[in-house]
Amino acid sequence: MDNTLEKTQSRIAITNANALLILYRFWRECVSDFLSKLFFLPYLLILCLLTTSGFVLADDSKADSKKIERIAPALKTLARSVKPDDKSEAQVILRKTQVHIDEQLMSHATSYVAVYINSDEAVRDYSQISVSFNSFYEDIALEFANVRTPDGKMDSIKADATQIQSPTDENFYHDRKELLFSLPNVRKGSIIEFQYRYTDTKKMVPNQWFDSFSFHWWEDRAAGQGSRADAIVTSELHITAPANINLVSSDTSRYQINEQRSTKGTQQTITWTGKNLAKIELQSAMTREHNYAPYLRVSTTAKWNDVARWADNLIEPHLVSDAKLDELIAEIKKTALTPEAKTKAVYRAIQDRVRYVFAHVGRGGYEPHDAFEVLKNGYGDCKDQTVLAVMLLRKLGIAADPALIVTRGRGIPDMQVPGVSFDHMIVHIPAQNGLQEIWMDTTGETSLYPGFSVGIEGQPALIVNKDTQVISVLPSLPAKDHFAELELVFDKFSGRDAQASFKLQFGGLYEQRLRSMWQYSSERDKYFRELIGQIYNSAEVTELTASNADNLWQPFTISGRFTFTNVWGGDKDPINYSFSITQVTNLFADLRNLHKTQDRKQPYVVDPGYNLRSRVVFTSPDRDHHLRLKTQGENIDNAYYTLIQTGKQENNRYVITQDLTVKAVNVALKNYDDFYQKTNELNESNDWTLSYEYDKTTAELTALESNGKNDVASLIALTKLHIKNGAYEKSLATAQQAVKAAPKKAEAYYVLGLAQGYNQLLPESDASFKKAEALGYKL
Amino acid sequence: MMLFHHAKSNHPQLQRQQLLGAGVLTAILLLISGCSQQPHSKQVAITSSAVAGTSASTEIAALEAEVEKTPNNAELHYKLGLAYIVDAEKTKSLRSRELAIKNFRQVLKLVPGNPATLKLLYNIYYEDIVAGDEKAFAKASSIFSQLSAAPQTEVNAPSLGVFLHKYLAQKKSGKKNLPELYSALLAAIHEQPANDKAYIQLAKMYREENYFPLALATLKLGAEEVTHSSALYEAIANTYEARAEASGCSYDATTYLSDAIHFYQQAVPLTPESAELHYALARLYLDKNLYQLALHESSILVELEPTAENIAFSAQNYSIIGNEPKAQQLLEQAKAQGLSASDASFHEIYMNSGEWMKAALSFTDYLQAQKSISVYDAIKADIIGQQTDLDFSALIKKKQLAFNSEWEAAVYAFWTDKLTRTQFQQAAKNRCERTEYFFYSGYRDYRAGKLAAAKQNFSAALQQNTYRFIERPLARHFLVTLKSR
Repeated sequence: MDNTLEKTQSRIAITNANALLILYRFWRECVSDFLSKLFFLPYLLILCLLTTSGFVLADDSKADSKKIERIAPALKTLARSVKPDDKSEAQVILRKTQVHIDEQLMSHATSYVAVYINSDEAVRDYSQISVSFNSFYEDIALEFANVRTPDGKMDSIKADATQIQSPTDENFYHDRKELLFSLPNVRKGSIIEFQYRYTDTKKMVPNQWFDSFSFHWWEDRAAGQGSRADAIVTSELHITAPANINLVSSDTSRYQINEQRSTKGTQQTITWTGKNLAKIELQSAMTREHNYAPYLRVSTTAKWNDVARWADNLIEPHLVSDAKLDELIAEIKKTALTPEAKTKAVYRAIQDRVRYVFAHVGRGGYEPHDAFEVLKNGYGDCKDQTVLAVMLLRKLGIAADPALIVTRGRGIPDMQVPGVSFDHMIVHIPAQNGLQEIWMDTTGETSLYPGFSVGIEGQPALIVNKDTQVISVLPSLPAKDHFAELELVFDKFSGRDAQASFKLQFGGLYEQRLRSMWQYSSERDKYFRELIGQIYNSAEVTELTASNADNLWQPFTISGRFTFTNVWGGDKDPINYSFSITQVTNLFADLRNLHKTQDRKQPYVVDPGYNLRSRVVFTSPDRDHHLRLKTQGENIDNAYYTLIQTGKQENNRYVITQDLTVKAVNVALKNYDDFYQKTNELNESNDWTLSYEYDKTTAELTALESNGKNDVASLIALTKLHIKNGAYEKSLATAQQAVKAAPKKAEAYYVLGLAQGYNQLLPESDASFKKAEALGYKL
Repeated sequence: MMLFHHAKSNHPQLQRQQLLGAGVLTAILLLISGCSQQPHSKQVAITSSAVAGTSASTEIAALEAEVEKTPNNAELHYKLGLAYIVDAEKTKSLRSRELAIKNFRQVLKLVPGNPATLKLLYNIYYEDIVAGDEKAFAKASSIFSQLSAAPQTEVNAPSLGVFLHKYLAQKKSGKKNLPELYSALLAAIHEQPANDKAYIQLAKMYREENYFPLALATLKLGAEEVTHSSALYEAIANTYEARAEASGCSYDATTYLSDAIHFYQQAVPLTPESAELHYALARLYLDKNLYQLALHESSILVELEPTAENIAFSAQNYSIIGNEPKAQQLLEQAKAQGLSASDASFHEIYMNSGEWMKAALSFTDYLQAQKSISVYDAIKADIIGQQTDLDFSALIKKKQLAFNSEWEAAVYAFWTDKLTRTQFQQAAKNRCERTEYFFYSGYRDYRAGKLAAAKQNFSAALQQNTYRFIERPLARHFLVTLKSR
């Protein structure tokens, strides 16, 4: 069996670290903190293919019967050989694993870890050790666990401080278990050590062995606060195997891990050694790739086709029908005539008839139920739903295959070396007559067709087909497809109150998350009112309606009304408006909680890019209130953000639009300060501020212009108002009309003199004034 | 014409400083408590130390540290902005200026619309406009539009800064482009209709180009928008006066003088302490022969500003109306106050009272102080010389003779026998010129012993009612002399 204790710990650790980290990064980037819980939920649903490797706690009697062989030097010797780093919270002194692969390609492994504890935080984190394993394939045994206290005394693990736990996840019935043990008297200055052994009990892929390893020890932080990977003095991995087995491994030279191969008789040995590996600083917005930590994959095959054929053999036998399933197929055939209609009908049928439940105890995690059984049960996990979907599609004449996916929660491992590290299965429909290529995921709870989510976007996939030779990568959506768009219209004034209608439309990750939130939130009305209320803290969301929450074909939208109380004095008082791009980013992004430059230790990744848009209509309370634009939002275009803002005066209202694209970027550490500064510039960029103020002059001007009168008094009044408004050209025209209308009217010449003067016609102006005086005007 | 002298200008110029505004530093001191929620004295103390420069960098460092701890404290950003702008004023550091702007902007983020901060920021950008920073106009305009009505009147409109920048640039280059300046001022009026500065400056420029009606109309537009502006009323009055003078002889345009009086009167209650207004009114009342009112205004002028020049002005007024004892008493007072012996008041008052020897002595002092002399000075030298048998010709020859108009050239030509009496008479077109024609013709008759003709001409000079002309008291003096013969 290929699953080793070493591998399991490391992989689980990577899974935990990456999953938590990336999830954390993801929602921090894209949604406010308090959305996070709901964001997790759909993710958990995706993680339906449990890791296939893991521990089986060795039967005590069996364990006892084996002689425990310590693979590391005595702890006392180790302690002497290392000078503790006073600055580090904890330091792994030695992490050593020995794996032995036998002729049947079953592995037996022993792993040893010694950690110097140098802080209270590390005391909390390392007091209890948890190792996850899959009881279907693996057997596990803790061989010893000791603590060397600061005064040099040794204390061993107590008999009642070890147990096997089954994690409890709603809707998940599986073989994953955890070996949990608590270490006694861990204190600052202690050194802990433990050694465990694991043995493969079943093979996952016949005639193949593969595994992946981390050179750090990934330790869960206390109280579920993520993981830690402390600096390590020495990390060693030894694999021994029959010399005739070809072992393929990934390149570790970029991590400064030394690889040595040797053969002695019928056995080959490969050793990887890393010295003085730095602590892995886990931070938000890290890359999906695993390249921030030394990582190794080893396999007996270099061909993904071997894995594809294994998976195909595992799944194909379950593509079987029964009468009820045939009945469903016939039913779809009646109404769905085109390939697109058929595909949609399959999606709808599964959404309507099969509830997502993971129920696979005793099956190893990769083998689905029969297609007809899934329909009959009315529930199934990702592979069950995929099998049913593939069955239906094929029967309807649509080419389709299952596809194994590594979801975003697990990051993007190095896929150069084949292995089975997938955690999800969906349907791949290749491009064919009448259809573009589709990646269909039915597991989301009433997700927008075809269920393609950010959780799988850009991730590696193995199309389960005998002919598959390579790993595919799922398409990535452009930033404009991950969008949130706000339309806000101030449209009602009542007494001192004002109201605005709003509509929020979403695409991509925002559509998926907001829809899920709506579906899963227990007090969703209250919750969404509070959420949207953040756009205007001073307003109350007085109406709220969600649309398409259960619609498989139309995007989820939210609409409603804001009520602003006591914002306007009424009558001739001005009404003031303001809006900032940060009112959108504060809700749909998190650009205010970046690490300061000096605290950032990792490159910063925005992935995927996204787009936030708004259109805000500020309306005048009446015709006599006129616009006074005070400040305008600015445009920004740099390596990280593009913000385009426009403002336009329309009849009795002012309309602004904002279009912010947060680009998908991987910001190298050396450029982080620039990114930080640019983000601050965005956060501090100008607001739109404007007011509608009662304008007597303009009101009179409007009245005069609209009354259509051409009498001299109106024309003179109009000229004066134009001058007052600085519309000098217009004033000249109306003054000339006034003189023409009343050639003996002294005041007409007076205003003409003014208008001419302000149009730089100075001699003409002088002449007009003289004429005015000659006609009796007292200048 | 020989109008009495006065040291004061009767056309106050708009000074550059007025358009520059109070200046950022001054603004800081004025606005010091604007953003404060702290006791006033505390803020002043902070700024005072910064202004004094005793520990500006320490002050800034301490504030920076506080801001680091509480980055959302608007008060701290305000203080830090002040400290930086004070430092920028002192050291001319652009970096400090930028940091001041950054902190003021942060205040506005935290306390949108804070008037004190808006004013400070505006003044910074306004200075940049004046300095020719093209981007500053948009920034200043943006801030300007955020100021509410009251603080808006306390700053200059952005386009006024543009005007000043262009004006200075034109002055430097010598390339005059008046339309460009007019446009900037019109824009300033539009931006800030309730501020009188742009109206006044625009009218002044129109006036200088002799577009008096447009200047007046502009100022009256301003008066409709800016009620109770003493400066505006004063500018209107100035313009009426200038228009009267531009007619050739203001005594032929007494309506304008009345209008000028009316607007000076409007200005007085608004700025009762303005000596300028009372000086102008005294002159105009005298021009209108309202001598009691003129003397009253003179007394107010002296009361408000008891300078030697103002006392001498009052003395001349008394001299003009023939109250010689009072005139001489005031002249002594002015002398005691430090009036220079070379001041024209001395010899003119002595001439009016027929004290020729005193006049000769004072005139000598006067002449010695002059680099160039006018036609009327040359004539005075002759008259005083003839009345005292003294000869000023040697002194006169050392001075450059300046002609300010064709009329002055005609006067001198007649005086030096290069123009006949008839030609001289034909050259006199208005009451002012006729006053001089009659007087100088009469004096010539007087010297030639044609006493009847002299009497007739002196009387005709008086009948022109050009009340502030020195020829008038002189004519009166010689008439008295003739009567006594």
